[in-house]
Amino acid sequence: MRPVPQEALRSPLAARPPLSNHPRMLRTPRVTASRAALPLAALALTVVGCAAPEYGVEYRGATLDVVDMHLHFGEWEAIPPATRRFLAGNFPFPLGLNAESTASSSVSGEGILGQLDGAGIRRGVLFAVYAPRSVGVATNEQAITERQADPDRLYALGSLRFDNWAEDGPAQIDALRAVLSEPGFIGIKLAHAHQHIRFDDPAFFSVYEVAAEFDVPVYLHTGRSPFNGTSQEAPYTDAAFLEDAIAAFPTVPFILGHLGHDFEPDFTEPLDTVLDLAEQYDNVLLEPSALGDEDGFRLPYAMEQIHQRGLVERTIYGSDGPQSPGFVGRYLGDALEAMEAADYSVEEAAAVLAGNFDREFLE
Amino acid sequence: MTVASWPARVAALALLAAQTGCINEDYVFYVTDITVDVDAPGDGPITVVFHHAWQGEGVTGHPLGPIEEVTFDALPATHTLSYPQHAGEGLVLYAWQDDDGDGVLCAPGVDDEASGVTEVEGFPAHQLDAFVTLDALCRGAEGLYP
Amino acid sequence: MGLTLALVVAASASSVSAAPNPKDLPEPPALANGEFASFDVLGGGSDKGAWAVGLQGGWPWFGARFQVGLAHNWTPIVDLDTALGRRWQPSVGIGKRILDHPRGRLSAELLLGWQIQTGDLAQRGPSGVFRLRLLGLVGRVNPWLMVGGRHTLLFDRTRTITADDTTTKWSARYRWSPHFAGGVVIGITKHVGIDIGIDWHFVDVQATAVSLPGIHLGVQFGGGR
Repeated sequence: MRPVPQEALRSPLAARPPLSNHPRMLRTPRVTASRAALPLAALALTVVGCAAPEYGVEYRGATLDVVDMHLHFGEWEAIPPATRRFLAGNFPFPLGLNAESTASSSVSGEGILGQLDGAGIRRGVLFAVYAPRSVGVATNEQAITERQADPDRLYALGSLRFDNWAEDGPAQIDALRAVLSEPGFIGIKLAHAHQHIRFDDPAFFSVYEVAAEFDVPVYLHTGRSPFNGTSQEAPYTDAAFLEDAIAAFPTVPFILGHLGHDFEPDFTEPLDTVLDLAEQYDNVLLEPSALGDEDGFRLPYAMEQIHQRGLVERTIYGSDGPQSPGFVGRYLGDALEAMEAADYSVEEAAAVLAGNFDREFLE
Repeated sequence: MTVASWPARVAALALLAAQTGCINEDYVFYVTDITVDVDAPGDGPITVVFHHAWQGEGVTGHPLGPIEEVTFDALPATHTLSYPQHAGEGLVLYAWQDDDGDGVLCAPGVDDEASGVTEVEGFPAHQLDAFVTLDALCRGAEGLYP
Repeated sequence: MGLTLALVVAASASSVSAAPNPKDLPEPPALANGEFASFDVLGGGSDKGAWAVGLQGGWPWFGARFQVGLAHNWTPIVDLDTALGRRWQPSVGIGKRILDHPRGRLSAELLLGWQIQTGDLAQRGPSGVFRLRLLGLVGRVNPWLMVGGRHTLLFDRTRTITADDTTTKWSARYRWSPHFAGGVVIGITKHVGIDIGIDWHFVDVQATAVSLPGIHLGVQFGGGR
């Protein structure tokens, strides 16, 4: 999970009104009661119950279904101490004093569903992650549990540990196979920079064999991360080092998450690397999560480049939430604005927001 | 009346603070002189990354954790390492050879640069010898240890 | 000459009556500066022999304060603040009224103590705070304002073990937390009062991204007046 940089907490993005006030969002129906109508409203509620949230977002007059394919759950105690300090220090005072409580409400299955509801998003994908050196551990077993908050709306990507591969590798592969047989597990999540494995190390390619065996996509974190304990070196972050694996497994969809974003001011080069791979290989997909910045440049630029280079059908929306209250909805709003600015048609926006996900994961 | 110098005052206050248990960060650095040598097939400079053998505990415990990275033009050479005892245990050396001078071990189209790893025996000691055989191609430390 | 002198005297008398001396202003009925315990707590400073206790609770700050007046309005203070029971700031110090007027009071306080914070952002160290308190006196319901700054040192220890010896070095990090508070205090009786206020502590401005404002409800009581 990428944190919202400190400056973003003060940025116009963070200061935007909640999604329910966003001009593009469908609002949950409001009940406005005058004094005279209040008793009648109360009576009506007891009879029919509270109205369910409505799902879908408005784009150019159409209502579009949305899947957020990048959501993190977890337990505070499974995060390394240095990362806990980093996260707690980014919470507004006094929320950081009891960071576990602050975070727990957001990163449970129920908390995530709450953010999805607020954003009008029907479905989401939970990411298991095994990154003890950086962001911590959120296990496949926990993903199974958190999905139960609403198994019709929450999917999951399974993952595995690499830090004792010579000895534990076969057992980890077997465990991955087992979790991919669980209901709702629709792919594999890897984060080479967090898990400290090179993109081009064939010793770890057995994961892609499993993906091919189960006919599921693999999501990969590309680019750097500001978290303590992540690898910053090119073989762990630069998507160019993935080419051998992409070419070796042509039936496995490789979803290049974060579009190679390296937290440098110039986003052009890493984005070009990722888009070049997508143009060259049919099994490369794109995911534009966690591209927010103070200037509001990266996400609109990325969506524009994707559109210009004819890669809309390869792009699957994700946010890298929940991060902070309301983040899931804010990022969706930013993505809609970026697509509007890049002149995405309704059909193109529908593909990015849900259609491409359904095709790659569910068909 | 003698006016104590300000460093002495700070020291006195610090002593009082320590005695009353107000230490925040408590760092312990163990200094060791390590003579490093390698068996490497190529000609380029050798980059050595000094790692903890183990960091953390519980579910977030893990092998490896970089301490310092040093590039040597010629080996054997002796390096003085300030080993952070407060951050882990054990000492592992990971080394790789940069034959093409691009600063990266291997790359798309370059698949013949060597690397290797060794766990330093006898640590902790203030003088150590470490020998690394670079007999793997394009492997990161995590691919070679444990 | 005599007429001129008389005119000057008359003019002087007239100017005096046009701009009365503030000390001659009648006090509000049943209210005198220094008489109410609640005003002492929120405005700072106590008359000799008068004591006051203030308790406040809210979000996120809770607090307790005891003060007693000595000669010339010097007022020893014992103070304890806590945010959510995770950040504790016990202090002792002294306060004094700087300006004393039937319509208001300005006081200053200097306290020294400790700061203890638990959890993932654990820290501890000596801490001091300087505050100014301003109280308006218009009746039983009065506005109050407090401005302050807390300064804390966080000591770190670094030990280096070489073949020859072990050296220990100390360093200190500095944390600054300015804070503001304001609200309304109601002197129910001379001995009991309540207040409501907004608190905004910009905690550890060098290390914390944003601090949220808080709110509290307080009760004050006292005696010796």
